[in-house]
Amino acid sequence: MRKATIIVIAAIYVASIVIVGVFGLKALMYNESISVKNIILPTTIEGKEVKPNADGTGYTVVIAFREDLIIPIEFVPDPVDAPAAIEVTITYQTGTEENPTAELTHDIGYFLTFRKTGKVTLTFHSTDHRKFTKTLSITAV
Amino acid sequence: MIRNLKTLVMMQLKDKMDLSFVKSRRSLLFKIAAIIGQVVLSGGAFFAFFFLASMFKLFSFSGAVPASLVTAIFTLIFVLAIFTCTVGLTNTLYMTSDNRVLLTFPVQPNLVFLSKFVLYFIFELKKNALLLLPMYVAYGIVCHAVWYFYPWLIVCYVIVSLLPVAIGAALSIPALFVSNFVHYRKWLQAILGVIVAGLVAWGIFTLIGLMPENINIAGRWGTISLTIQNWLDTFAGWVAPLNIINLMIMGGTAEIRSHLFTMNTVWGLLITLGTIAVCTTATYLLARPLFFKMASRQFEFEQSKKTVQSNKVRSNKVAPFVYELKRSTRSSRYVLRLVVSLLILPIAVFFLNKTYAAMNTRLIGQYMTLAFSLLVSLLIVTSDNVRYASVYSVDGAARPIAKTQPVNPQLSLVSRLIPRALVIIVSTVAAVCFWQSVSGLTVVETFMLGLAIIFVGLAHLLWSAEMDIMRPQHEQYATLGNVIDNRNERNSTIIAFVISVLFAFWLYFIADEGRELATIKVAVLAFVFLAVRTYLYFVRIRLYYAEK
Repeated sequence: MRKATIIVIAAIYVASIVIVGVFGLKALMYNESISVKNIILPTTIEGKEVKPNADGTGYTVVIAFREDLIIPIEFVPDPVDAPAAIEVTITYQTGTEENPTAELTHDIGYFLTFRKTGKVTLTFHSTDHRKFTKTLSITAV
Repeated sequence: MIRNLKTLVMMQLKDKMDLSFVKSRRSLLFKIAAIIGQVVLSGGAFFAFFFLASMFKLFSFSGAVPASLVTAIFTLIFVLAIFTCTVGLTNTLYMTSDNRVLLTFPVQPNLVFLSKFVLYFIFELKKNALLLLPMYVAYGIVCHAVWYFYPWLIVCYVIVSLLPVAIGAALSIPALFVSNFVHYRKWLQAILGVIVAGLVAWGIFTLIGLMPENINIAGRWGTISLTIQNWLDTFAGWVAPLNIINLMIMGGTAEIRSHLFTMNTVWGLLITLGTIAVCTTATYLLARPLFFKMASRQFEFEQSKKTVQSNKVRSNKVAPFVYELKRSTRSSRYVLRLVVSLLILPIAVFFLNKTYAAMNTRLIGQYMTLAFSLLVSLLIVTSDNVRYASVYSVDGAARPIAKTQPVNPQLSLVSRLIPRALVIIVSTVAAVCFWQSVSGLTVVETFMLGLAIIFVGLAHLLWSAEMDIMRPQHEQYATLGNVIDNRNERNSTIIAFVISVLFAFWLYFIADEGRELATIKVAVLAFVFLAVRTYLYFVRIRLYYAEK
């Protein structure tokens, strides 16, 4: 078989599954009852352990500062099949508005870029009706 | 020395690639545009994949595209490259007869040896320019890589392209001994072929069997994503050296957009350059003497081991069939092609219907699954028939001998199609059995669908062969050895798609009359189609082979 023929058959093969999946399925009620009950944060960041605060208000980690320090912010919703999205925002940071300690970018994933030493508090919150939130403070020294 | 090496490489390149475009500026421009188009297309496909993966949060809940995903793709490409280089270098270093000619040239023998590696290095660069390079560029764009990632990528592209060539050259030594050992033992080839085909088929069917009973992609998206993420992380651990080489190229998920170079860069360079050094030294010390020994063997005095068998006299009617069956199984390449043709249809149909079975389809969805399964089955069967649109022409100058054979031409021409016809029947029977086992078709429906596929497959086979009789291309095959754009094959491909689509659509539109009745109607129409094509095939043989 020629390469082009194989590619066309493969495309038809995949398309057939998609078409049946889109137009051939029985209608199902969207299950909105699954809401986020917890947000699991990474256990380590930059090799340092993420510890729960003593007062139970959130989590803290202290990391070493270096030039161009970018940290990918990862999380796992619990339960994982909860359809709601998780949003991350900076709710507190040292420094001024003109000269902030860090910047949070959200283009392809969340990335926290430290400009200087200091503390940043991130808040994770689910977009469903429960609005579950969790905080993580990252201090770069 | 460099000039001689360049000449040797160019000579061999011209032998393996069509470089005629270099002579004309217009052709050169077209070629460059085509290559750029391919690279852009490949990069675009990777960009779309990474972008969609991020959008649908397939590999991370935050939407990031992890480095472990790139490691998995890199590993796949790298392993295939090692396999290709090992097989290719084993052939080109020790088995090709051009070595005997090349060694007579007024150049150092070491240069001939070196030219073989340069040749494969160029192939590897070419292949990676269409795969690895676009993949990393796409990843860099999606992840907002720092500017110096791109010049660094060019450096890594050259080094990493050399790696599979060096490993393949080192592996060519044991590969030669294994190849020689197996080459002279047909029984071992057969056993190995059966074992490998059996294991592959068993593996695929087991994997398909593991598919969940109820696929609910939307509802279980998080679980699927988490499973994939965990698997990618585990896989990156399994292939730790390749993961480090990948991190050498791209830094990491976050590093690619900040400082790129980490300790992994140092480790990656050490692993890559160290492996290249070790493999090259081993090749120079072990493979080079072997290369000279194999290349300077006096082939005039070689004696192949042949067992003399008594000549069995068969009747004129049976002899052509026995001859064609032996011809179709005379080498492992042909047997492999037969085995692949046998397995591909049942596997494709089983996987498709297992997927459909896991979907909660409504009535119209069930009709769709029936029609699509028939469409895919017919496409696979008929597309595999396309090479029979040149079945007689490939004989080249020997084709007119068919007219001089003292047997009925119908017999000798039909016998050429028998092995393929057997493959169609056996693979279709296996396919419909698997189809029935997962789809809930009745026995009558299964039987009728099987008959329809066999009838259409055989009809298309006869049609393709008939095209080759009526518009023979044997003169082109005799002079060129191969015809890249054979119009009979092109027409056969178009017919294959048209009849497959027509039968599948017709089944879909009459399915609401009752599935059993619909499948009977399709089988009857397929039988009529086969009857017509059989009649026309024999009529045209009589016409073409009539004494003038």
